[in-house]
Amino acid sequence: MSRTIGSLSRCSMAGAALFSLAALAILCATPANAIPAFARKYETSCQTCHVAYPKLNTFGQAFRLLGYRMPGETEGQVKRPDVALGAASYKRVWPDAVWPGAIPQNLPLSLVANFQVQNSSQIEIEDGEVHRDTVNNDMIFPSEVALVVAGTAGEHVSYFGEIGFEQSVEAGMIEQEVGVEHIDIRFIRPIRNSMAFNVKIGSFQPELVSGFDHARRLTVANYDSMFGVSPIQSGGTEIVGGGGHHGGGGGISLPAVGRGIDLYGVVSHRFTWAAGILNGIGPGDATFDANSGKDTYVKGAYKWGGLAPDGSNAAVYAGSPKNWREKSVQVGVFYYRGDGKDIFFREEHDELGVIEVIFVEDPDYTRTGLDFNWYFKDLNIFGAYVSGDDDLRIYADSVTEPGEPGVFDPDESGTYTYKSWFVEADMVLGMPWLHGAVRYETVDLPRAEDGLKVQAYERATLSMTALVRANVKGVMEYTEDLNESRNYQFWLGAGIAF
Amino acid sequence: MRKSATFTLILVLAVPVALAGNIQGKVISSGLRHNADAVVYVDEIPGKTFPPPAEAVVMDQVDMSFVPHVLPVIAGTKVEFLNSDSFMHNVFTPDKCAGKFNLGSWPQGQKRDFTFEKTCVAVLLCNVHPEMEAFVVALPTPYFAVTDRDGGFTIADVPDGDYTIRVWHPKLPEWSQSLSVSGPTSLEVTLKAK
Ligand SMILES: [Cu+2]
Repeated sequence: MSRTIGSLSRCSMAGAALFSLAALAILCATPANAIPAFARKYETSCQTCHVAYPKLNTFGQAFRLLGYRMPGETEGQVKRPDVALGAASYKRVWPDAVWPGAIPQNLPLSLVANFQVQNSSQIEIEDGEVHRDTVNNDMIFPSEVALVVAGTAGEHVSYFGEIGFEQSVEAGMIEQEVGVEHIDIRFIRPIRNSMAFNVKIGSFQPELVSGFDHARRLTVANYDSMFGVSPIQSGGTEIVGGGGHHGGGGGISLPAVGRGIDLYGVVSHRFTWAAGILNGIGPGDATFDANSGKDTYVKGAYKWGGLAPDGSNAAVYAGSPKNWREKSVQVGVFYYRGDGKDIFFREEHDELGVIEVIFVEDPDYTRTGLDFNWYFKDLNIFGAYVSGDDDLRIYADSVTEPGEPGVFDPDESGTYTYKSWFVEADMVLGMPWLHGAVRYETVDLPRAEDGLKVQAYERATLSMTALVRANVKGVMEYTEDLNESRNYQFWLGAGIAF
Repeated sequence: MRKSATFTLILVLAVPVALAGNIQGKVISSGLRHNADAVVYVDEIPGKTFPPPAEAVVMDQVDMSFVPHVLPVIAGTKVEFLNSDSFMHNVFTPDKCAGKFNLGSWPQGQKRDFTFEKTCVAVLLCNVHPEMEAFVVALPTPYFAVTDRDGGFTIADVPDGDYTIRVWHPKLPEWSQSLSVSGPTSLEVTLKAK
């Protein structure tokens, strides 16, 4: 008998039903990576770096990669210069003095807030009966508030942090939570001032994928086909040993956020690479990592046309004055290897009214993928494909120590594979303040080696963003499960960043 | 009480010896942070036309700003827009009198030009950096000046005669007055922000 394994995990792990992904996006921390502090520092508009915040244009992508510096930045461009912590000439005196740094004149804080009205419908199957949960006009005000801090600390050092405030409803109570979503320190061009090598340390969005940027997406719905797949969790289960890559949940698919060290760079102006090491699945009982094994990854991507990823051709590149436009294509490949040894996920199965408890270990898993990002006129089409292999080891419940993994079950254990992909088309709709996005995403959930396909997940998302001001927007979005039309969500939202 | 503009005008007529003189003075704007960027000029002189300069006048785009912010020229003048920044800029105007031109975008060190044939106040914008703004004011005579931060200006070598003198400023109401020039002449204008 082949067992059903796999689901799309939810951000909050408690009580997830199988394929309940569509209803969950709103509960996930919607990243707010727009940084108005830089608009203040350079006294420039959001549009210099963003198509429609938080989505970056290619100039903004280069600015980010350069450690929040303009390509060929001059002193005069920085309208509110940092306070020098030591005269520049102290560099000559080093190591007999501390190397000078810099801090912004004011704490470079920005606030991003979003408000949403939610309408949704969700089919849940409980005890063989179909239930439909509907939400009508729920005003989630605010749906997200985040304090973003980012800046430069003298030459070669930059930082980014985000403190998020989240609200959720749990059993009739509004739960409020404040958390550090990201915080990292970056050493930019530490060696010979070359962009070929940079280091990022902290809790960050790994430089793993190239074609899309979940933290700076146009849509409310996240790329759940990329970040929300869990080959382990089968729904309605409690998870022992951690909830995926990110402390706040997430699947064991691609890490949206991780704790680790990221090495990345740009070679020959157009080839970007990254290699990193992350804690992986966590937390454990008393440690941020649930085991001592680390996850590792590499990526490479090449961009043809347009602004070079390192901004090196900015001074000679005459792009389009419509700063969301360029003619370019970037193609990337990535590989992620996870180590989930000694981490046992507890699962409950309802087998004809009898609750069966099993344990699943994912000691060795890989994610291999490719992505692309194509700009043409007012269109930006991008997408990614991921194939995941999980060498799952299944254990029966322990007889001697209930709640501990028991006897290894070689029949159920084996390599499970899932495949997922998405394509999104973003378009500027005639006016620079009106943006549309259409996305299709699908996941073939894990199948055993016998090739039996368990179930596919498909979702379509249609989204419209109107910039009311450069830093104020309205969003209308509809997302639907294509295999179950009664699973849908409709959002009306507003956002501000300052 | 809230008049759109109040002004005081002080005319000092010097001894009428010279055939031309400087018009020197101040435009004080109340309600603004500084007194710069007002264009003071002699309006059309019936029966007289003035050829534009043979050389183009340059407006720079540097450190994500147009320099100068306000550029008066004689109608017919070719203005060259130079990009001095390490990334691209754009120049366009929504103003009809300048043909609503859009010069596209170009990289560092390069220039593109536009000839302002008609008298015109054209706002210049950059599509890439929406905070950038400048004005080219194309005028009928070469007798013009832009005020400094203190409001001071000097229009050099205005031939003796009776003129209409005007003040234009992006944020101030338009002002005009007839003025008799006979040798060095001074002029003080106080304008209140709209
Ligand atoms: Cu510009």
